[in-house]
Amino acid sequence: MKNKTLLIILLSIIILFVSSNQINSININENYYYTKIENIVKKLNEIYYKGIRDERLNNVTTLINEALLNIEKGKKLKEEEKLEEAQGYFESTEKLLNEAEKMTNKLLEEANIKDQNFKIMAYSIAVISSIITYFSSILMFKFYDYWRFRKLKNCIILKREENE
Amino acid sequence: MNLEKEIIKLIEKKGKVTFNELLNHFNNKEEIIKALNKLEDDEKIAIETYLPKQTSFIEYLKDLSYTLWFYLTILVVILVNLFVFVIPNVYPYNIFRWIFSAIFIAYLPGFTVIETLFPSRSELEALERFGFHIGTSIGVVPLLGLLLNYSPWLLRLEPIMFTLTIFILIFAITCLIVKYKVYKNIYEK
Repeated sequence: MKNKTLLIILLSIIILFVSSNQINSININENYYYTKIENIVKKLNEIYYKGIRDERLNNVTTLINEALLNIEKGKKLKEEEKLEEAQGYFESTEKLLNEAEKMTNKLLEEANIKDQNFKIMAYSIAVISSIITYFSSILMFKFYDYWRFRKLKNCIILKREENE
Repeated sequence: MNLEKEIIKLIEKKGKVTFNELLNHFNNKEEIIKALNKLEDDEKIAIETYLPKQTSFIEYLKDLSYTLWFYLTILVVILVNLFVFVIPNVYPYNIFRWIFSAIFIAYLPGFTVIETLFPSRSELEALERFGFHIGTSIGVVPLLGLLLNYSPWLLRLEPIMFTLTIFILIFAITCLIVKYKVYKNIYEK
């Protein structure tokens, strides 16, 4: 019974250790970072198509470029089986990408707000301009009638010769 | 339909009638205007602008129903010159510069020339007139440019503006005088 309890405790300690190690460990699979970059780029595209031209977008691309360089270096070191050094590079990549993602999310949020404001503005302008067009066209027709009458008042009417 | 026939009868009886005489006779403004438009479209009558014989040139200038076109032309010419030479070419003022310059280049030269050549209403239809205004402008402006290119002032902004302004003003004033004479003589014809 005692042995069983000890075994369970030992096993749980091992599992705890392994899992905690998993949490702290840095992923040295470069595909993980590429997927992360892809997601960020998708968000950047969305921001760009929403008409946002901000200098912070340049900062994000710089971060991504740095991250890509780090991944390349990490990959090389991994191939040379210098895992600890590679892990250092991947660690900094993770940090850079997290920062880039944070900035992109912020920008995307701003872009969405601007987009919504723009839509509201566009709809209200459409409504207001249609009302103005309606009333101005009525006024213009009235003015046209008046002007036609005023011009005709100065006119003389003659019979036209029959066309052959 | 009856009104049209009656108008024709009245014209045949008198030879020519003024719009005021028609108003006194039939007493329904809207119906008369409709009938006149119909008769003019069917080419049964000709409507001509006329000036009473005793009207002086000053009175003619004061009556906007005859001369509004002249004042609008002068206004556009002044505005274009202001927007080109005085007001800075920055947003949002440059939008007005584009609009007035387009009218100044593509409409006014032809408008003044055609109105001088064909002053009375029945010579050209409204749509033909409008087409001629634009077409003549497109013909006149490049020719003026070509002449300027061989002149000592060359083809630059200031000489172009100066030449076009003078061209439009000369033809506008000529047209004003021609129209005055034609309108005055039309009743006697």
